[in-house]
Amino acid sequence: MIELDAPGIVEARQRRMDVAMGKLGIDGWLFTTSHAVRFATGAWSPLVDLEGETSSPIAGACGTLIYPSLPRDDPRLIDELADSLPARGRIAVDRLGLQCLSRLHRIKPLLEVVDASVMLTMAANPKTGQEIAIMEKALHSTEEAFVATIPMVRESLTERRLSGIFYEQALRCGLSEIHVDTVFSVLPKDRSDSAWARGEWSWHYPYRELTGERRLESDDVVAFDAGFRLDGYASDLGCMLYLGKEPAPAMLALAESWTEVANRVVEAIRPGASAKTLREAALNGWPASSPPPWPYPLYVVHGIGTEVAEPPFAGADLAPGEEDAMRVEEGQVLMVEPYVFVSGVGGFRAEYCVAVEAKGARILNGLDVTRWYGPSMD
Amino acid sequence: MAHRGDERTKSALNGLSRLQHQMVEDHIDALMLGGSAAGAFAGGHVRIGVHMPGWPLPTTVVPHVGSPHVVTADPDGAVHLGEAFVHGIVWSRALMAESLRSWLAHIPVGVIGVDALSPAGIQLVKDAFPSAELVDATVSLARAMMPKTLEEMQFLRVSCELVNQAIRAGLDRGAIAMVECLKGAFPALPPYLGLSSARVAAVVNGFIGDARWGKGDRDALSAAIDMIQVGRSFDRLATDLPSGIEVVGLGRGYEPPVLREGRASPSGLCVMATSVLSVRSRSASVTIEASAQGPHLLSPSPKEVVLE
Repeated sequence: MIELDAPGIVEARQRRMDVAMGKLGIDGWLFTTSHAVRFATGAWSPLVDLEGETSSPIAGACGTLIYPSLPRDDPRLIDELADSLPARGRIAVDRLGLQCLSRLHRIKPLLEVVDASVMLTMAANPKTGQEIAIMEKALHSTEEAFVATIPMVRESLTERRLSGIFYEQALRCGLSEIHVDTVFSVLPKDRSDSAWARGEWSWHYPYRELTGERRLESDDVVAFDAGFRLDGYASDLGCMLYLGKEPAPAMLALAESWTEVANRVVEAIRPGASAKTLREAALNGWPASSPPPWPYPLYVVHGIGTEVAEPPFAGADLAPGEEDAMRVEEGQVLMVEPYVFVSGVGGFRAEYCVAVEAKGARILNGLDVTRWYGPSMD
Repeated sequence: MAHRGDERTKSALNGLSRLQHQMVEDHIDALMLGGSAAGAFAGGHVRIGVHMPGWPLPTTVVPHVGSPHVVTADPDGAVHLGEAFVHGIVWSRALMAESLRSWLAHIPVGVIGVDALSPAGIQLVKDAFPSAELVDATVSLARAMMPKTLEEMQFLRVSCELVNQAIRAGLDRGAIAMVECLKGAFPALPPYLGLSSARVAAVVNGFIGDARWGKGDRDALSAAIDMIQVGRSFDRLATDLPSGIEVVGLGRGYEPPVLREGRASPSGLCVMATSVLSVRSRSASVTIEASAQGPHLLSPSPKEVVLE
């Protein structure tokens, strides 16, 4: 069961891939992850599991597809794709088992294998207006599903059940292709409430994103983070819920603190800016004695497209030179997602989704993500 | 805040001793895994998978003795491991290579087993351990993961029951009812409800259930089930299965083996007691447990899942 993305969109991606391959001196590709195959060819299957590992994998080489293919660690897969590969030159590979790589080397000894990540990153941008419009639509549908969920939030529901209610609303909004487990996670209000924030996490703000069986209680602060694929492009929405009647002034101050950090980053976004610049914008005026305002070990900014998280990454634990080399480009779509925490009050993590335009960032959200939401609030 | 983990954490490290036993048998000193089902099996942890192109680098590192190291954004999914064994995502490749060496400093690392990594991931392992021999760990992983403990079997039964209930609800009352029935379990495939078929796969407590009801060959499915006997070679089974029948392992996710179009992958394995398999014919599937007494259905029978 193979489905195809709209030809215009696929052609735009393929043109960018051709450019990237030319710049990197790459002569062909062999992909075994469903994301990369879909990016390069527009072909996908609803039967490919989200991890894309075993059940019904899809593989491709230079435009030839095999579905369902052998798993990516079975060397016989190479025999099936060999005729599509050039005899010599360089090919980009996303993921393969060792035996596959050995088999490839045996039957194509003049072929050099390089990692596909640089090529795929280069080809991800600049996105066309059509691609960004799809992403905006996906985001707005995700927002619609979130808003429809809010009146159903109540005490004693488990986080997991709430996630299910959200998914039901998402289906009603035309979204079905969930790409990551929906986060409805009660955030700690004190560091002492977060037994897991130990070791490397000890100094950082306590945060959690694994939806579990915890039951919601009055006055809980709940982080929401979810996304779907629409026509191959990912949405990513982060908002905050509060289960009390009205947020206390300290909670409103927390939301304001988040907004200040996020706005500083959004203002710094412009073509040519580096990921390092965006990190510095987030930290501008932030107390050096406090943890950085984003969750460890994640980032304050990441790109989004056909992948839910793609470069540039600002705030990740990259070498400074690498972060400086990651540049913002016109036609990228970025997520700006600080996390602020005050002991005794709790945490606030929402997400702006922005399109990078010639003059700077344009916020794509239709929903105000800077505020608290809850069943008792307007 | 009282954080109640899911049921899965009780058996978090069930898989590790089996895996380490297999590693010793196969002369593997350490495993470096990128696959999420294998990683969850070895480390017993839960993490949200968000990948960038070209990943994964190894995210679970398993020495043949001692605790595994897991790389994660979700320390709350790894509370059963000591804090020295839970690490944030390492973004710098140089730092990652250094970390790998320090995590395995307590053992001689002559042979490293890997699953399917990116070329950059493989290079990273080679850079970190230039004198080590890298070997494919697919068969070792499959041998360790295929037999299930009683506890794992119970989780798989629950998952199987839930996804089949969801299909019944969907066929009776529509797609929303189907999803409602999942109670928020993470769908491993987008749920599908058509006029004459339905499909639901979801991960419950860390174990997958996969149900498919629709058109298929009822007789071929029944014949295939009867052929899955403990000790039988999967390679042989693959060639003997009725045309159009596929078989896929189930556990922490979809797991080896995969039998399709006359071939078994990986090659060289036999049916093991307590392995759980999804047996498929076109749009219909059943889930079975292989046992010494013969195959045992965990799901509804071919008569029920094959729809006219």
